Parts: sequence; structure tokens; C-alpha cells
Amino acid sequence: MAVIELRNVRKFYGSLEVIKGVDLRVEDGEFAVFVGPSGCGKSTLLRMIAGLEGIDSGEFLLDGKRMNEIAPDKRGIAMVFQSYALYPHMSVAENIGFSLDLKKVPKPEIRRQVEAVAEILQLTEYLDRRPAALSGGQRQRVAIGRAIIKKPAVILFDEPLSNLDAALRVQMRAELQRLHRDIGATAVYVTHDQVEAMTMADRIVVLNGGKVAQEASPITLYHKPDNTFVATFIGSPRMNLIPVQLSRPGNGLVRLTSQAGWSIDLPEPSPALPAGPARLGIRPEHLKLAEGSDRDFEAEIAVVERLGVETYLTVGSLSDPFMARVEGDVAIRPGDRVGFAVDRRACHLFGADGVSAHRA
Amino acid sequence: MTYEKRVSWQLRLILLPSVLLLFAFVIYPAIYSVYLSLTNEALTGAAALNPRFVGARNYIRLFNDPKFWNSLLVTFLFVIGSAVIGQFVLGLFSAILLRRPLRLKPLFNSMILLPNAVPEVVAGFMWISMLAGGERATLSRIVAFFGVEPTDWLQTFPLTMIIIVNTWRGIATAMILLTAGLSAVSHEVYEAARMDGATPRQIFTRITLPLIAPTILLYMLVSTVSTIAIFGFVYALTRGGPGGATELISIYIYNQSFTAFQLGYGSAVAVVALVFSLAIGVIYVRVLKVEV
Repeated sequence: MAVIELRNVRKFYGSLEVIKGVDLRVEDGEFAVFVGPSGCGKSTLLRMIAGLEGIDSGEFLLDGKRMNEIAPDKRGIAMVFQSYALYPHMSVAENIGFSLDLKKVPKPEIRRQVEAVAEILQLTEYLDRRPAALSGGQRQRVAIGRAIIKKPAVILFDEPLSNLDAALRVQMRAELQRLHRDIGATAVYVTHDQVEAMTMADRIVVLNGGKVAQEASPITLYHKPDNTFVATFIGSPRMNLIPVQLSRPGNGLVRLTSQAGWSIDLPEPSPALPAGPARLGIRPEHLKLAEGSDRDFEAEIAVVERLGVETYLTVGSLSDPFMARVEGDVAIRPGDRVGFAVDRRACHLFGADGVSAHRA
Repeated sequence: MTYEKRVSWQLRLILLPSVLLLFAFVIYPAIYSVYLSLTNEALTGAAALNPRFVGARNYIRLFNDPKFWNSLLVTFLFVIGSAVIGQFVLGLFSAILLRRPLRLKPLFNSMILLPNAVPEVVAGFMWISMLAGGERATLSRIVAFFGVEPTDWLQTFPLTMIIIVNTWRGIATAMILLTAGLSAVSHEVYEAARMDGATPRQIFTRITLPLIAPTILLYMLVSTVSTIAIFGFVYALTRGGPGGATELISIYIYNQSFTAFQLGYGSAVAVVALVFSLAIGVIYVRVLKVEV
């Protein structure tokens, strides 16, 4: 059992508040991912859970027990660091077994446990090597081995895949998920890579400026972002936010008129938004190529990126563009004027303050 | 001329001034010393006018000279006491402490670095005022305040005093080198050790020391060889006395060459000192695998 609870947790560096009252609960066995841009406080929050950073106010509870004053090694928490942080002067076996050696576990028992962990992580043939003689992926596995040999209730991962190349990252993502299923520990994983977050998480915690911008399952975040920050952070290419004027023509719908002059009608949002400036959120895949009466607007194409399986079209002026993502390889060239239809079921509406008012 | 050849010639040209200076002031004098050591060259008397080749006589005399062996022992104790123990332990201690957030850190840094900036002979005279003159010595006045009998420090504890002074002078070098070594150890490695349950003492003995071992050995090589060559401030402080108690090999060479005027014999001692230094250097590099 390992339920993580953060209650109004704050952290200051001098007078600068970097964590601004975070409340969070990660359930037993859950794989939670902290995601956010650089400097949002995700690593700091993870280090506060680890005990490597103090908590200036608020509480961190593990299974209901206050952990604020408990030393890092007494929390039952293991951590995998971004740079792996392996001990360069020790062999792989010594690295993995170091925590047991410090606890004065008998040498044969350490060897037995190290070999068992090495077996799981396919490191058996490298046990006598030094970290310098390993590849990036193997080093990463040693770092994971060092964490899991402690049989922790919680494993923390601080951007563990960021030093690996793209192919290895995909492979390690799958391995980490398998490992998490096998050992069943509660996991908190920090990344700035939203693909990692979307593919690995049971729950994503999006952080922005030291606060939780939204926490939910990956698909909920994708389909129901609470605000423009989450809307544009999750999803690639990012959601288009088109400035519009909201008015009520009297047909029970709200009319959104863009600066380019085209407009669409959507059902009345909840909570209701006042007439005036607002923002229409449309993911690139929800803008469809359309002709004749099906089209909602026509615009000039600025850039065409052909990926074979799909094509990215940058629409409008380069200073204020938005993007459409259409299936297949389309014969459109920069400068062409193309008609688009907006998928109304997938539209998002944000007030002038950036808070979501209408969810598709 | 190909690009590689041109670069190669340019590199040689850049190195030329250093090579010329080294040859003129190190290699040629060393070779000339070997030649002198095989003669009875002197600064006064018949040998000064007409020096003769004497073969290995200076070397045979040297190995039977108790004062030579005394100077070797004094040099050994001086190197071990000041460079290997004093400067290293205090330098490491300072390097570790001054890497942490500390109030008045720039002041402590300056206090440690300043002795290194003082010229050797000036440092010698400064310490004379501190240690010499019995009850008028500054140190005597300080300890008298605590009820300790004043003494002539350079007469009572001569070797200990020059070890202390050299330690004072050399902490900065040790600290700078060891700070560089400590900086190369990733902060995350220490955090990983904390997460693994290592105590501060275990972190020091099992993580820090093994990881900075190459820097420590490099420091030992540099400090051993440079301490063997120390002359100025010890000569200013004690002239090698009392009774040879602080007669380092460098002072012995000087005394034999320019006080007893026996250039040939002094050169033989210098050659032996050079061989010792080279041997120590080779041991460090080959046996202890120091990366230079």
C-alpha cells in the first residue's frame, strides 16, 4: 500500500515561491506523471516527495503518515535520476547492491538479490562492468535496478528517458510500463515530453508556474482541458486557439466570429460566457478540408508539411497561423486557397481569462 | 604543403619559445650539473682555477656523508608533514566546506588563497616576526595570553615550524585542485547515495574519496615534487639550522655549493635530488596511474 497525498505543499527559494500550494493524491499502484514546461516545478515537487528538498509549508503524507521530517532513505521511496547518477567507480553489481551493502545485508544475500534484479532487467552479463562500459539504455536499466532492489513502496522517476535517443526511448517506455505492472509500486514520473506522459500515465498532473493546472487521465486531459494552458500543452500539434467575438443571434446558439470574418454557431456554453472576446479551441485534426456549402471558411495555405500518412497545413499569416492536420498526402501547395469545415462536436470554448466554458 | 603538415609546423612554432626556455634554464643546467658533479669544481682555491675530473668520487663521498642522509630525512619529513598531510588534509577540508553555502565564504576563500600570493622570502620574514625572538615573538605573546611559557619556536620546534609555515602557504593549491576534483562529481550521485541510505561519513569514504582519488594522486605528485624543491622561505627562516634540523636537500645543495664553495659536490647532491624527484614522479605516473 502506498498512497501519496500532498496537502497545500509550498516551496520557496529565498523569497521566490516555486511550488504554490499543491494538493494532490496518487492512489496505490497508480502511475502518475507530472508534466509541464521547464521551470514549472515538476522536478522540485518530485524531490520534495523524495525528501531531497524540504517542504516549507503543507504536508506530504504516505499512507496517511506525515513524511515531511523523515529522511529520504527512511521513506520507503526509491528514485531514478535523469543522469542515472550511477556510482562510476563501482561495477553494475555493486551499484545495484549498494543500498543493501549499506544495510549490512550478508554478501551472498546481496549477490542473490542483485542477480534476481539483473535477470528482470536483462543485465546479468554486465554485472561486472563499470557504468562507463555500458550503453545509455543499459545504464538506465542499472539505475532502475538500483531503485527496485530496495523493494520500494513508491518509485520516483525524474525525466529518466531524456538522455536516450528516440528509438531507445520508445523501447524503454514499454519496458518501464511492464516493470511497473510487475512490481506494482506507486510510481511518480516527471517528464516534459507529453508523448511519454500520454502513453505511460494512469493519471497526468499538468503543472504550470508551481500550481496544478489540471489532473486527469490522459484521454480526459486531451478531450476536456480545463484551460488554454492544458489545451495547448497536451496534444501535438497543439490545439489552435482562435480569437473570436461571442454574440447571441437569438437562435439559442452562440455565434463565434473570427477576426478574418467567418463565423460558426455552437450550443450555449456552460457556464455561460458573456458576449465579447473569447477563444475558440480546435485541434488540428478537427479542421477538415471542405468544399462548397460544407465549408465554414476559406483561407490561404502558408506552409505544407507532407509526412506521407498525414499532412500538416499551416493556415493564414505566419505571424498568427493555425494548423490543420489532414489524412494522407494531399496535393495542396503554399499560396493555395482552401476551404475548411470545423467539427463542431470537437470545439472548445475559452473565456477571455483562458478558463474552459464549453466542452465538446 | 597539406593542411595537416601546415598545422603541425604551426604547432611546433608555437611550442618553440617554451622549448628554448626549458632548454636554456632547465635541461642545459641539469646536464651541466651532471658534468660538474664529476669534477672537483669549487668557487675558491686551486680547484676553482683548475678543476679536475674526479669520476664518481663526489657520489661515493655523498653516500658516506651523514649530513646528506640527514637532509634527505628532513626533506622526507617536511614533504610528508606539510604536503602529504598538512596541505592535503586542510585543503580537502576547505574544499569540501567552501563548496557549501556558507556565510563569509569570500572572506574564508581570500584567507586561504592569500598566503599563496605572498612571495616566498616575504613569507619567510613574516614568519620570523611571528616565531623568532623568544618572548618578543608574536606567537609567544599570543600563547602567553593563555598562560603558556614563551619560547624560541624556531630553536625548540624548528622542523615542526617550517612544516606549519609550508602547510599555511600550500593549502590554497590543494584546495583549488581538490575543488576541481569535487566539482567533477555529479550532485545527483550524492543524492542517489542519500536515497540509498548512506550516512555523511559513508558518502565521504565510499563515494567522494574514491571518485576524487585521481585528483588526489595528481595533487600528491605535484605537491611532492614541488615541496622537495622548496628553498626560499625555509632559508629565510632558519638557514637550515639549528644543527641541520631544517636542512632540506635544497638548502644542503646551496650550503655545499655557495657556503662551502664545493660546486662539484653540491652538483652531485643536486643530481641525486633530481633522480629522487624523477623516481617519485615515475612511481606516481606508472605505479599509481596518475593521469597527467
